Amino acid sequence: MISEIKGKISQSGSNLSDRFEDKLTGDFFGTIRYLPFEEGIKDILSQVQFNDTKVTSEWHKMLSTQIGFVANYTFWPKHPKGEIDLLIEFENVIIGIEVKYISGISSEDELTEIEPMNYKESVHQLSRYSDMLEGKAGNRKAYLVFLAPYDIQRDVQRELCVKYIVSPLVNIGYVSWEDLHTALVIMMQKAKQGAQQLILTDAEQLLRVKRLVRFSGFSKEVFLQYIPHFPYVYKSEDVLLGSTWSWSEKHLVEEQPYVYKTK
Amino acid sequence: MSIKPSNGESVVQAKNIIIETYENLSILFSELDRVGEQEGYVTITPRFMRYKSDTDYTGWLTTNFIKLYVKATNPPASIEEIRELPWYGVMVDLNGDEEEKIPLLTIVQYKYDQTYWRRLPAVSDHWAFWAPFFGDGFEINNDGREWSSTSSEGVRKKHYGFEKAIAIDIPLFEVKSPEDIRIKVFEGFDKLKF
Repeated sequence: MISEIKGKISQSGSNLSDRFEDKLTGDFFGTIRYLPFEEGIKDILSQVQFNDTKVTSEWHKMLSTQIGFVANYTFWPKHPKGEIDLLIEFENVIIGIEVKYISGISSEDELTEIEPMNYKESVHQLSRYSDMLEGKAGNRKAYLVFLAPYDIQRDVQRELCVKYIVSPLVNIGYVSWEDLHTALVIMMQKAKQGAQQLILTDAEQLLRVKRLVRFSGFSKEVFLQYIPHFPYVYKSEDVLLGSTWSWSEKHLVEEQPYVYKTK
Repeated sequence: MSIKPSNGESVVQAKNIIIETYENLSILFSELDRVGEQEGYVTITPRFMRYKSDTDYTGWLTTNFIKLYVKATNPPASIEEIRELPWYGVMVDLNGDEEEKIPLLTIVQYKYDQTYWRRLPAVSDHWAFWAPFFGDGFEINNDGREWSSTSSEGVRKKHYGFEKAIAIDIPLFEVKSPEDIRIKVFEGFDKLKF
């Protein structure tokens, strides 16, 4: 809904296939924000990992102090440094979330030197957004979160300080969609009947249909069905003018020659 | 085998199951890399190796997938970084063997004469890692779910210096979780000793 309200998806829906990332962002966070912070977003954001353990404990402490609907959500805020996907603002904290679904980071720097480029000059998305958050933060604590399918998230996390650097005033954290799915499954088990149960179930199913899940084996019903192996007569009246092309009537034995012909 | 009149409905069913299988394999391969990293392994084939052909119809559909792993913290940038390390493989095979008509996940340790390797293994090198268990000219010993394969001199030259391999089959459907992957695949590698 949010992606359409904000004009990311055109009224005709013609650009939908280019906008799946925005649709996912809007559908996921747009819906979970209907819940009080402690019933939804809190456990989602708890999955974010920071390289620094001190930052991690500050993060968890900060998340546990927020309740109700105190957070202000802005999707795709306009800014000269580019549009981050989501800004979540509290009185004393600002969180920017950059979301990826199918494609990786856009606009990387050309690495001509051994060291990554200064974040104020870099065109790398995460460098730019960290600069933007630094400017917007004022006296508030600033966090930048990168959310992506695991493969992309891991690569981008590895590239920190190699391909890009971020503002020293902004803490950067990483999380994968697959881990959010696992968290949602656990959240659903203790969710209250009604809105919380419905919203979390929808979010979980959305990630599941997008295959943003961790491996859970080959347990689907489709694998239980039996497929009979019938040879079949292959007819093509148009092409072969009424003749019938016979497929194997005999049991075929490997490495023996056979002749196929039309009757 | 007599012909029963049919409109080939089973073809559509079979195709649907294959697509579902591919979707699950895609998640499995991603999970293998992830669990592997936690266990101290990196893949040297981020994309699985496979056989593909437009002219040979058995190469239209991928039924055998191989990924290679080494014990390291970073993905290797060149062959030099992995020459001294044991090469491990995870092979998923959908063909079923003579005894068991079930898909298998096989864990393998390979040994190659490194003088034959000038670059990292690529997606299309599948045959060199597949042949030791299926091709001609190898001495293959199969004891239940445990396999070993050694090469003769002539075969070695044609297969990138393949010397020997040892492997264990696991029914694919018995691998059900990241924890199964950790225990059956990555702890399983330690049991593969020449």
